[in-house]
Amino acid sequence: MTLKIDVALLSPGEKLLWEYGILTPDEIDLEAIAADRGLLIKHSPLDGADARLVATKTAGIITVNSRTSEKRQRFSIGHELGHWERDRKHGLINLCTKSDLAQHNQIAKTSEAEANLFSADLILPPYLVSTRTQSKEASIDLILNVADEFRTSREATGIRVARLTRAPTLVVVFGQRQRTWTFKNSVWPHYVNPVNVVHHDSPSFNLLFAGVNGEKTRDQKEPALRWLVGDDLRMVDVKVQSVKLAFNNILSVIRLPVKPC
Amino acid sequence: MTNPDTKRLKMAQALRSAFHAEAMEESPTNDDVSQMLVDNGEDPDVITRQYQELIAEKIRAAKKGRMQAFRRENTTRVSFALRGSILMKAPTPGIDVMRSRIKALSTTPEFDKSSLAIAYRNGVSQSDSDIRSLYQDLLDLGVINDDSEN
Repeated sequence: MTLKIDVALLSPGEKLLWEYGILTPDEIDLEAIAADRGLLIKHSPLDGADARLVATKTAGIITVNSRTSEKRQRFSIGHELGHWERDRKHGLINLCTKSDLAQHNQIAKTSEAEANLFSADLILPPYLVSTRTQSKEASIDLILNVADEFRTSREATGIRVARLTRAPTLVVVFGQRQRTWTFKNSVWPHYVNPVNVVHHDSPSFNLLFAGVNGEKTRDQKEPALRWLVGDDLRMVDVKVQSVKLAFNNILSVIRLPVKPC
Repeated sequence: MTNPDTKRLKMAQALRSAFHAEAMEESPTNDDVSQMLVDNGEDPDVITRQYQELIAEKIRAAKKGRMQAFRRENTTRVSFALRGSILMKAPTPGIDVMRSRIKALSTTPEFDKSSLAIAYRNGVSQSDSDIRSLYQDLLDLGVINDDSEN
């Protein structure tokens, strides 16, 4: 496989993968990379955290909570690897509990956010994901394919795919009572927002209340006002597809029509 | 050809060889190489990039091999470490002693100088079981000894 990569444009997480010659998703072995960087990974139950990093200047041990899902464990390894790779250079930060992430501790919060970004780029590296999304519309079908190939959660993959798509795309998770979170990609108009509950005329409504985990709707046109709040949407259709998640949630992808230049 | 002529010819050949040898010893400059490439109809920038990519690819391949080897080794190490944790190196002090030793660590100069770090992802209060495994990690890393007075 030939990939033309401008290394200067890669994020720190991607650079690490590129350094190890990673060219396909199945080669992303975070435990092996961690081991090569001097970190031992243990999988064992933790009551008070998703993961823990204990590190000296030359070696460290990451313990990941074996009670969490495999996908979450991978993300946690990537997160702690991020601390090891990034924070070690500037003097490690000692994080103990959530109280350390209180409002006043901006350095720790920034470090946590950076470690999360680092991890996201390790498990869903844009330089590999983009080859799967190129010239394709963001749909649940595409997200499920990528999530399956990269062994990642549907939600995290939805965000990555939306980020890499050029068309205005919104990813949203609804519970049966209300919307729980939203992600708008960079070309989505900031003044257009999703509704708070799924419209009863939408096929996604049936999915939300009667579907089983993994079931999905067709990728189809629906009136924009079923899904969005904003001006000038009366005559607009959007394309929508949803999939049922665990805990009676659905993940929906909404795409605005691209205006001709 | 007379004998002196033969002698003179041999000398000339030797001189020519010595001259060539000396010339070969002089390393060509970057400009010389660039000019040679241009003379051969090549683009020096393209050739340079090709060599850089080739070298980078070799380095990546070497690291990848190392990663795969570490993967095999690490699997053995982890299982050994875990078995060791349970069977051979089970921490002996009571939970209160472990807590106090760990707490004492946070006041040591090493902790201040960031040569020791403990970071949690989504951390809340730590159970006794968490403290035991943390203590074990500190033992494994040689940060504390089992007979530590800390």
